[in-house]
Amino acid sequence: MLSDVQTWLLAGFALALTLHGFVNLYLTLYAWADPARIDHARAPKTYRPPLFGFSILLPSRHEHQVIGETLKALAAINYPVHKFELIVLCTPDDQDTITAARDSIAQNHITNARVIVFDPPSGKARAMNIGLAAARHELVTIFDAEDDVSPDILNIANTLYHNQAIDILQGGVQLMNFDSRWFSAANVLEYFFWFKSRMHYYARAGIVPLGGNTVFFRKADVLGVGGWDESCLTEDADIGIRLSLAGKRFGVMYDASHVTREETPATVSAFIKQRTRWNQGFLQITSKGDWRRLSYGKQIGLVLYILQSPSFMAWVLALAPLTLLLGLYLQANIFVSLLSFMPLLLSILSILVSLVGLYEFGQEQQRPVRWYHYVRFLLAYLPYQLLLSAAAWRALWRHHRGHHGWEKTAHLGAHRPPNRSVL
Amino acid sequence: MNRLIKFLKRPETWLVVGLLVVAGLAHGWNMTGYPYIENDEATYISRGWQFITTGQLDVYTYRYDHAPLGWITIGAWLWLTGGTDNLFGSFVTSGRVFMLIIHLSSCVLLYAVTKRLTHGSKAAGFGAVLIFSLSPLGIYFQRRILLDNLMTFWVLLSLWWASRPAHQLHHYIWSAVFLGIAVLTKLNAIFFLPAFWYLIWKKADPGHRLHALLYWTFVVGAMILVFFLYAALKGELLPAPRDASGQPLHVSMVETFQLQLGRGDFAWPWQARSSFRLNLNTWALKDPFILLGGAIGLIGLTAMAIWRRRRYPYLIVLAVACWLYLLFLARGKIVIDLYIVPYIPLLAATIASFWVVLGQELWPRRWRWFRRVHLAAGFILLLLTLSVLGAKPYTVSETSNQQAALDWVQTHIPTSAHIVADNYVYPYFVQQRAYQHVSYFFTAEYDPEVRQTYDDDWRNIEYLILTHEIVSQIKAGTTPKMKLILITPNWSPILRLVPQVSSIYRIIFRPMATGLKFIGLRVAMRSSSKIPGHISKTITLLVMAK
Repeated sequence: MLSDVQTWLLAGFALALTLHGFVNLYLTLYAWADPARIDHARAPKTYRPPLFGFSILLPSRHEHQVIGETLKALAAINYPVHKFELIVLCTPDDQDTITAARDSIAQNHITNARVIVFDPPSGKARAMNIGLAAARHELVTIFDAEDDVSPDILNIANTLYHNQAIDILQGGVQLMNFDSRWFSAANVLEYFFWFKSRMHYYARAGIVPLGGNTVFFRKADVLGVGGWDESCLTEDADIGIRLSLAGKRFGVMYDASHVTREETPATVSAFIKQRTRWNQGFLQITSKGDWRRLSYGKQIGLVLYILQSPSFMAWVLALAPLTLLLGLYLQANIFVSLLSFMPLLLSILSILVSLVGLYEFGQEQQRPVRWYHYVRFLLAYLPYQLLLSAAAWRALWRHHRGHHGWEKTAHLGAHRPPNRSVL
Repeated sequence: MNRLIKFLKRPETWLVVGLLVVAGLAHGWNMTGYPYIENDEATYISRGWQFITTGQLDVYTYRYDHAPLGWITIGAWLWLTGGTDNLFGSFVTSGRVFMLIIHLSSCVLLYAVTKRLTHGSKAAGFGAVLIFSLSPLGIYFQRRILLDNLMTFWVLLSLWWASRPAHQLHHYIWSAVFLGIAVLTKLNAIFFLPAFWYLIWKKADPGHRLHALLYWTFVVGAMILVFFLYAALKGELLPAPRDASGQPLHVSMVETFQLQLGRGDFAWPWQARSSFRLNLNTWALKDPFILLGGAIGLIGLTAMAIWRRRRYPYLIVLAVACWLYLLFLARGKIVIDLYIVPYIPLLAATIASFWVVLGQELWPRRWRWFRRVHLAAGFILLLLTLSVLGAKPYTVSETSNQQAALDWVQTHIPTSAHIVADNYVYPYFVQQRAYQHVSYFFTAEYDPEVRQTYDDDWRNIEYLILTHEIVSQIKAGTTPKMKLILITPNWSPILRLVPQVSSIYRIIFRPMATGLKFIGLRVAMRSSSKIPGHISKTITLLVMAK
């Protein structure tokens, strides 16, 4: 028989997990809750005449395999050449990338691209700050060197800045290679739900942890908040929070045919490193404490939810079996036992949600998802959660020890289908 | 405030208020006097209060005979209305008041749902609520404290959420939650599932159709699963091991379900001996109109729903729900008379929808004229029902004898006495008064724990409180031990109440017991049938003692 204190602890823990599960599902399904939201986030059907000029920043490090193709594709984008520029940002120690970029510019006769070589230390935030200073146009956007970008992205952004009262625009980013590794499908779905659904809620709440690319800023806004934080591991989410604090208005666009396409990490260790970096970045933002200046309790709650979610998941996974065991084998109060099953039921529901997501992803992107992909996703679900949990613990440990080095993800171009030229 | 004024200015608001007044009068007038308090009503009341006071799901061992949410709700109502010092006096009266509220809520929902399913016809909603509230068959069961009434309310609420015009995913989730509650109130709500699937598939925005359908199903499934989980956690899911004498060591959900699914011999529904046909006869005695009208309406509506499916895409929901439930009733196994309860609002909606849609199709230009015919038809039907079936529900008191017996026992029998009784006395004596050894005659016979309270020796039982219900059960041979008590010579009635009569007198029986005959009852039956001019069902009440 459990003591009263133990029973209350169990009930409290189960309740917290249940609450987390509900919030999680609510955000995951936010767009589908009202299909008008999905329609609202689509790209405009007709484009306005080009008014805004764009500076596209391409911070690159060891990207010589993909940077040439990317430059070629971006230069061919549907927008007047004098209305946008491409800025490749490298450090001098990365001669391969510099050469590849310059070769591509020369071979493809690109007139609106530059390579800026800046002094070490390297780092994406620093590269972007330097690129920002050099930008000649009003709107600044960032792409990663391995991105497949929609050729209409600037037309879309131009039109949305025209039509809506927005300061920052986050375009959809989508991992594509759902069938390359065992964890790929789950990873792809995280992006799918993050950019297609959760982002809308964040934008409405006015608290947006921005993504790393396909984000459009007004140059003045970024300068106004002091640029990107070069010490932060997730400078993208960080600047999102700071722009939220500055009261900027966010727009969100997710359209299956205009998402920026990326690849999942190639190996488990690359995945863990990437995820550790994100989680650690979130922890950094939490301890920096800018969010304390938010005015509404709801916003503070949301920020803390977003930033702490990965660490929370680590605790959940570590303790979930315990809850079940306690619920099953100890003579707890029957209603507390039943409550301890709620998180499990919610997890099953979220798996169901993911399966529907996988189906819709396949439909939208016209990628055939076969029955064995669903099976593989199901089999991989728990191990994937363990990966997430491992990354969360690793981030906690590194944060605690003060290791703030950047562990970079390698890109091979697996998201670019063979026999298909880029774009 | 503005919205309130706007709401009050709408003629439709006053139409519904008018309907509620009619429904409230039809249901509420004499609702504590008719029909008599049935065993089941008291069972749910007592279980509900037991749950509130001790957290147990039954006053005896919970055997998984029904899902428990219905009486948990009833318990909550008893608690809200003041517990043992109830606002309405006895628990049973309080429960009947609760049923009035449930009925009125169901009326509002039925109006709205019928209107939506018929593409916005107020006339259909109006007709459905009138038939639902005025059918004597409906009144007979809807006044009683039955799980089926609660289940009907939850099903209608679920339907109301699922049929809301706006495209919001959470509407379907709420619909699922309420259907889950409906199933956990009375399990046969599960037969409506396919009708909901159709409705959601048809109604949901293509942008989240798959989501709506899957999550709806999941939530309903998960809520039902909780019931099984409860049994599993209590270690009462699977069949129990047996002791030396072959008795199971504890109750088990699976065994109860097997028992219930196996109840009654199979007979095709068209065979006269089938449970379906027998009940059809008793229902037809109370209200042949709703059955006949329902049959015509269902066939007509089905044809119309298929023929005019573009104009009325949701009529098929109603038809499917009706056919499914009919399939359940006519499945060939046991049917209990109160199984008709959820069918009454469905039939009412079917009749009204068919009539209105037919009118709209036949005379599309003469709608104003048709509306008058519609009102007149409703009025004639009401008069016809009243004139043929009588005003019994509004005039006859079937509970006065039951109440008189309660009063008499309270003044004459000590609280320590061992009483075996019709369950209607249980909530009052045990939960509101201090009687310690009152048990339901059926449980007294079969529950090992209850048998212990009288040392498993029927000679220790001091008093019996019998109603015609128990008498017919004992006659049918379901409780041999009770029969044994009755044929024992030294038992005699000390109080006898027959319909419309409240005189108390004492009879000494001569021992004449032979075999299966038991005279006490025969005498009681015979004397009750001598009551001149009575019209109500025989409700004889006996209190017997050694």
